Amino acid sequence: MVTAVPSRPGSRTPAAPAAPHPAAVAPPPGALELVGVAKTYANGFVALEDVDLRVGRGELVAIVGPSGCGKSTVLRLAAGLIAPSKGRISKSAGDLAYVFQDPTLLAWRSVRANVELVCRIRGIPKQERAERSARALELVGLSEVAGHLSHELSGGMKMRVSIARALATQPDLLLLDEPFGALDEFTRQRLNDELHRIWAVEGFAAVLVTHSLREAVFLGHRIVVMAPGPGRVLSTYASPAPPTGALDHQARRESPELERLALEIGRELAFVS
Amino acid sequence: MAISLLGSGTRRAGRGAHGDAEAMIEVVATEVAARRGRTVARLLAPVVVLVAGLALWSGVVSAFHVPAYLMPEQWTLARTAVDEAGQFVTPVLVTMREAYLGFLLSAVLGVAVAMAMARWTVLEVGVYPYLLLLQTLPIIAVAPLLVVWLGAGTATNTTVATVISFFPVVTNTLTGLKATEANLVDLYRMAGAGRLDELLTLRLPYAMPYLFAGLRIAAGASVIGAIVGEFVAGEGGGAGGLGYVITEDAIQLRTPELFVGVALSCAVAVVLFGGVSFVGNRLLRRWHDSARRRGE
Repeated sequence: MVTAVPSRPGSRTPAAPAAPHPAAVAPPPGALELVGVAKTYANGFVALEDVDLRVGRGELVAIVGPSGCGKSTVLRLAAGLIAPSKGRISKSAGDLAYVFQDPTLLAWRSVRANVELVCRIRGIPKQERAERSARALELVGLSEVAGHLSHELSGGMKMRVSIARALATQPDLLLLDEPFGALDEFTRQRLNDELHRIWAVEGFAAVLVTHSLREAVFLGHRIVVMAPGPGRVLSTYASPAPPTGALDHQARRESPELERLALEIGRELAFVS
Repeated sequence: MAISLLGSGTRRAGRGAHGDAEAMIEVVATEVAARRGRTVARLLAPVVVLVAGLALWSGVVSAFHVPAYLMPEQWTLARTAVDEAGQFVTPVLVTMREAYLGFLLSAVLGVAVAMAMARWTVLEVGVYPYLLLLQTLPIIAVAPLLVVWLGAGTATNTTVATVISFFPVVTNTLTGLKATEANLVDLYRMAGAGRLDELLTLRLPYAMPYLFAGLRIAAGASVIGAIVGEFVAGEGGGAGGLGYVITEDAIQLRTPELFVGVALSCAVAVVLFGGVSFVGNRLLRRWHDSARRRGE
């Protein structure tokens, strides 16, 4: 299952040892499982019909599909923000964290306070909170602006703060709802790289809803394609080169296998919408 | 990682320059000069309008020989204001006390009621229609009733000021509390936050810009309320406010004094409005666009 990413001469030494990621070794126990899940809203709109989705521990699953296919509904169900009309949702005992499309920060609080927010609400003691936020900010490369107001940051930096806030809760499962959708292409790539690097260190499972096929194949062990009317899973692709701890992002971005996969998914989506 | 957060134009230019220091300094200087020019224009524009208005006024008065009891000349007004300054001191203080106390009460009560309504929807559904009714009530028609209840004096005037400025505070604050970004509310709920935590650390700060918009309306309204109260309630314990003075001057056709009274009423409102705006800007300018100057 492990497909090593070819490393180019002179490329940066990976920060993490290139040992196979836990996700890649054994069939992973589930971090999240949706079985026969349907969601009909109060106004009668059928958002989802009979969706099965299983996310293993440490596994990265990308969900793509046109607007209205219920991608976000899947995440909101998984987060427990809404209840399913039918079916079963089970989660591992660990914490889950949600990253919204918008940074969703308290503009009047410092970056550090924002990163500590969820931990503060959950009653994690001050000392530990400080340690966690310092580490999370280091992971996203924002230690230097910890004291700034979030209002003063650029869009990409705000998104990093949002991710740091999720990381500070030390989640087993990260739910990302088009987290980089509002960013420019270059910043998006940088944050994709960072998300992969952080995953390689932290090893959480993640469900990433995205509109970008390149992002989906870059980050996903599996790519789930959804279709609207009513929202359902159309097909699931296993990545020919699933992400590992290796950190040669440029090579990965240029990988012909992944490019082919993106094209193939794109063809399927062209028929859907 | 390059971090450019608060870099002013000067610093950014400094970082990017490669030897062409003169050109850089010139650019910076132009920028500074332009900013200074804008500041001067901002200060000067209202003065120009004021002078033009006064000139038009005195022109009309002398051209059409308007009698002094209708429209006094400006120097008459100035002399009246200076000569009779002493007898305006008490009325100003009385009106100030009534209006400012009324404003303070409406601010505290208004925010408290709005928070209670945001917390318990039942309360909002049940009480809000009657608050709306209170707002549509012609306060001048109710003032006599308040005189019957509270007597002719400060208590009545303060109450009128409170009642009239209460609604804008409630409605604006409530709007802000309810307009809080839905995702942030979800985030709080997912983290298991208590309703009080959500109200105090999320919704209330989020509502601040709305709250201050309400307070600014209330600032003007409270002075109107106090003066309306004084119109109706009269002298009130021997020390009448500006509303009382204005009524008396109108009856006796002391037009210059009437003008001074009106101007002082405006001043009482402007001082309160300015104070509220100042506090609001200090609180909000660091994080909210409404309080930031453009180009900053």
